[in-house]
Amino acid sequence: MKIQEFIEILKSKSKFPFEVQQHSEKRVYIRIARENLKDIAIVIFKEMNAKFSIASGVHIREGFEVLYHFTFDKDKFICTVRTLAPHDDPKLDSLVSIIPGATWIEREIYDILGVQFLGHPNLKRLVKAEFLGEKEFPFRKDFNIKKFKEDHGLAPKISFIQPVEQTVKKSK
Amino acid sequence: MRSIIPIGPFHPLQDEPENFLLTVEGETVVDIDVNIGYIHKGIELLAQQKTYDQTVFLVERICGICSITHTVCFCNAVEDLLKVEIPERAKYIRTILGEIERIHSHLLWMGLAGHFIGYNTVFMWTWKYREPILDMMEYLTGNRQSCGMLKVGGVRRNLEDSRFPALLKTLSEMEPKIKMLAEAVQDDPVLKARLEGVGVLTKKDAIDYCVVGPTARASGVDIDVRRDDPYAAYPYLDWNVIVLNGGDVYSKFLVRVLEVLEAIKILRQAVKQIPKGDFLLEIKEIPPGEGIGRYEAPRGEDIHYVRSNGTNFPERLKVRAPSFINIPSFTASCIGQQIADVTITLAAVDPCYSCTERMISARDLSGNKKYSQKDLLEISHQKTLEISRNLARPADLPKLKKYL
Amino acid sequence: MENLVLYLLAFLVFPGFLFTSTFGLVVSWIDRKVSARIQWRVGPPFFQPFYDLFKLWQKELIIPRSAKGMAFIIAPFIGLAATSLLASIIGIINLNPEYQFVGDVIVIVYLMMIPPLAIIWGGFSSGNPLAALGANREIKLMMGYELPFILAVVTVFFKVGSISLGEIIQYQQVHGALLNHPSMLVAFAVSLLWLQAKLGEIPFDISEAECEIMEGPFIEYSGPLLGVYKVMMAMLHVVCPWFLISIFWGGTSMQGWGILWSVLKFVFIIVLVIIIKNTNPRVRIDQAVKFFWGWVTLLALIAMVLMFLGY
Repeated sequence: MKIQEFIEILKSKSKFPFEVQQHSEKRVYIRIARENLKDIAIVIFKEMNAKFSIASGVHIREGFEVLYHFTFDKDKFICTVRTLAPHDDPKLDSLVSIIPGATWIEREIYDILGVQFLGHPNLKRLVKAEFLGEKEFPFRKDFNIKKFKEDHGLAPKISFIQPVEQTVKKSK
Repeated sequence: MRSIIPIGPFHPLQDEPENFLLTVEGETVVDIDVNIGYIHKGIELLAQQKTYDQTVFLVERICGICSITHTVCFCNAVEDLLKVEIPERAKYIRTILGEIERIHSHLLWMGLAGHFIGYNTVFMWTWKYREPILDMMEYLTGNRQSCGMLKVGGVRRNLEDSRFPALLKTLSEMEPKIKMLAEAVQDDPVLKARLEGVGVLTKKDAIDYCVVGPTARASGVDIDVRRDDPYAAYPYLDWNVIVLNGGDVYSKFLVRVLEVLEAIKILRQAVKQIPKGDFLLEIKEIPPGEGIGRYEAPRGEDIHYVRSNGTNFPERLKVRAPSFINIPSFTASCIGQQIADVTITLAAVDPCYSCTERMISARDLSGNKKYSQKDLLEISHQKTLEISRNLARPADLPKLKKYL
Repeated sequence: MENLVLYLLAFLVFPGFLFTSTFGLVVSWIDRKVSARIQWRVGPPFFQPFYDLFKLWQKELIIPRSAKGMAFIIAPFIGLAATSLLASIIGIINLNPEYQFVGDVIVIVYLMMIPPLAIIWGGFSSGNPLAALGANREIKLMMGYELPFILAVVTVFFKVGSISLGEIIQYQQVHGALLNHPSMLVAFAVSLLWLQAKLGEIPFDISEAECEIMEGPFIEYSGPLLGVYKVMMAMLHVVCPWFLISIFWGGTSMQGWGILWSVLKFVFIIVLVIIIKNTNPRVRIDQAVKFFWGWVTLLALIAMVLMFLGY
């Protein structure tokens, strides 16, 4: 199955619109609206037997873009499904009921980007440090690390050069 | 009566802080909860503040064992973004380094697995067998781990052709030992009783949880990125994908042993076929776009997603190490097991341990001595020179020719 | 009064506490050294076990808040006292087989159950779930290995026609070691398996299993109390093989070449234990109990049948 055939099959099976961007012979990107996320996951994962590799969350100007990377191992290509959760309503459907392997990555995206996944059985924090609050998301572009460090007293108070100078004096 | 048994964050089973909360009834596990994030290093965020060249060194530090894995994977992703083909010699060099890494990573896991089931002799022996291959890495690249060989567009340094005979010699010395290990695993009745039928991950669960690498291949899922999404020199070489159907710890053990033998086979061919010529493609500019890189790490499929906005910093780098997707499958494989089996099942997916191994001896022969960083650096240089001297003295080179 | 002093000396110095514990620590050095050589390592220097013990004595004693205070502290000492008593009984009878009391083997077998019971008690009273789990496993394992061992000892009783250790040794001095009979060889094999489990060595170190439940019953022990346990285990490494030598292999002698011969017997059993330990993985508790109640009990019954048939 080449990418062209895959797109044909996808078009015949799905009842929703999508936008195709072919990057190379091995990579294809599909853009869909967030309402159709579950439908396309059923088509690609359940019916076409792709493997779910991972999802990546990116903060862009329009909102939070989440990319689901599905790999077709027998056919040697990757299909990436991209969808957008707008700023004012950062919510997406959870795919855990269809793909159990998506449990952790949805938790991670929730943790670092603040995208809510509706219907996730156990949506709690995964990797973020405990001193970061529930509402502080380091991967958002408006997150200011310097200011955050100063607020929490995490900025280094002693400059790193000082101890070196002391040792030099001692050795003299 | 239910009680909660914690494994971790600090536990002899785990060299890295991870926390497993086992809910047990008597000896049987009825529920498992996994907590991670104790050593979250923020590398993805840090990568957004580094240039592409610096990011290669940064991703090398993700893991102490898979240093080649992450660098090649990142380079694959950027090269996919650029749509370029790297020179042939660079492809072969990447293959050689990757397979050496696979051998030592698998041997590391086998030793640890032996330790987890109380078989310390296996632990010590496999780690002894692993030492020559790490020395070989040092002999070829100058460092046992994190050798800094990779660069977007090829490799940073060339490998000298004159050093390959010593590699072949080490491999032919190692092969009988690995074969002995494979036979010992297949013949030992106690080991079999302890590992067979333990922690079974069925094929359906393996597909549902999207597990990768030896974990998936032991459950009968026939995937291998080296064949399915060819990178480096794998399409030019003749080798097999090892697939077993057991799904238990024993199959996972056997898959890894057999993969070491395959890796030796790949290395022999790669050394024989490596072409002469250029090893680095000059890359001036990285246009806006997206790229996905895949790599078959010792633990499974590694995947990097890179997005560029035309500047010399990546806009977003997403790293998915294989353990991230393998660990949630514990829910499927551990519930209903006994505690004694759960520990080895948890270890059987080979959760990645970041370890830095540089020191051979912390004490010199005359007595106790503490070394400063400078001394350690000096000792390390000396050891590299010593390895180079011992493995291939100029006088030995004619003798080594027979391995070519 | 003089007798009391002698008894105390026997209990505390020779062949009781002091002698056995020193010898036990030497045995633990042999254990570590031989294991190290098997595993391509260098191994510790001769005095390492003594250094370790000395270090433990200097350390702070931590009693967890969840522990049931007195039981937690007393348990190791009970185990130590029982082991010292065992050592003095076996030692005195070996030195002078005339010096005996009726049924002393039964007392010895009974006393040998006390050290594991002390470990179980200490584990349960520490209030740690992992320790409770380890103690639980120790109970199951004990139920497993004691049955075939008692069968093997009963076989010896019938063969000799006495239940006194002195008489068993005297019988062997006259008729040669019991091991010369095939039935006793089988019973000895059963006892060796029992020894492996009793000493808590791999493949039967299930109750301590460091990678599963982190040393099980010992998890909350630290400092001097852990040291007491270490001494107790070291003494068991002397006492249990000594008992086996006494009932199967003609006992030990303290005269002339007999000393060398006794030490050789002893080293043979210990090295056998170490080799089994280093060539096997740890088994699961259910596998261990099945093994002892199935194959080993069968072996003990075969020994008994062979003995009645006159072999």
